[in-house]
Amino acid sequence: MISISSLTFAEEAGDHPDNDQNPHDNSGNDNETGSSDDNNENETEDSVNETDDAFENETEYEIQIMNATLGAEIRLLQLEKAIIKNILKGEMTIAVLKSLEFNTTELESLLADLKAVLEDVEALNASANDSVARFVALKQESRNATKLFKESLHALIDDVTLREIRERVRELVGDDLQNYTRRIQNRIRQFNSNQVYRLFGIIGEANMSLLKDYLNGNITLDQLRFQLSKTMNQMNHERQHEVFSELKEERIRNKIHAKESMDDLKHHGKGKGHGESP
Amino acid sequence: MNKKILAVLFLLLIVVSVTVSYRILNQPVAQNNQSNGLSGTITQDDMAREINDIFINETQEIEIGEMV
Repeated sequence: MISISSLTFAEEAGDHPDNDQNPHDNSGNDNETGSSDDNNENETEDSVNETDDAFENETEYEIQIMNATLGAEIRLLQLEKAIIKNILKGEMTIAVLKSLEFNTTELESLLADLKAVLEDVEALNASANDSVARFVALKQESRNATKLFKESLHALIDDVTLREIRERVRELVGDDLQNYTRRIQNRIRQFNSNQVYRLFGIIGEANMSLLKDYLNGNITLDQLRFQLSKTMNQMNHERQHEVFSELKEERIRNKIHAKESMDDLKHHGKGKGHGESP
Repeated sequence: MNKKILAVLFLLLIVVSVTVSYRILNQPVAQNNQSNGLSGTITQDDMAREINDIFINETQEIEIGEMV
């Protein structure tokens, strides 16, 4: 049994991995001897590192639920939606640029790359052994394709045109993705209901009407959380302590598993597969 | 007669002492809705945070960057 203090310590260490990595901390020391170009390069490099770290942390958080098939399905659908959103924006951008008689060959080629990534995501089986590793790789590919598209676009047009396109794209994309939003929301509700059911197992009592109300959309996730907190607070302190420890242990186990997967992917190109326990 | 009064006062003193000691020893456990376990204190906020963390936010999205 892991003690609460050690769990808290582990959590604090895990929750704030970037506390001491401020990219602007060194600027004062570097400025004294370096040229402004060097400083700009350093700042750009720091900014890129910071973005990469944020991307890795986000991905590490996202794969924590991918041990379960439903969790993997949710993440794949979310990735699919993000890619489709960008493809729609890309297509709209190209249409506008064509009407203004710009050469869009390079942009079209980059958009085709993003469409190819989408096909791979759609073909990926959520319960496959390598679903986590493939998810991370495809997310990275879609991010790279998006970045390249944006860079090519910025090199092609001026700021005023860019702002106009940005406005048009923002207005139009939302409606096309409603179907995805609903599918994702339904699956998340199912996932959260499974979590509540598991929590009832730990507590030792079940309020099925509460669960049903959430699944049917009669109450929100916040209302569900509130009711569960209320139930927990009515328990005696020893029982609260047991439930708290169990929840925290599992959360930290998932976190460690996700971190190991990310480390494996970084160093060996393969993560811990779907359904594997640490 | 004096001995009887002294004995009663002494007994009263013992009863009061025991009552006060009992109250002091049991008070921290019930205070502020907190529990003092062997290895830490759990507040209502700790518990609420732990419950929050088992769920996924319904509007959560995956970020892959902006195209424009």
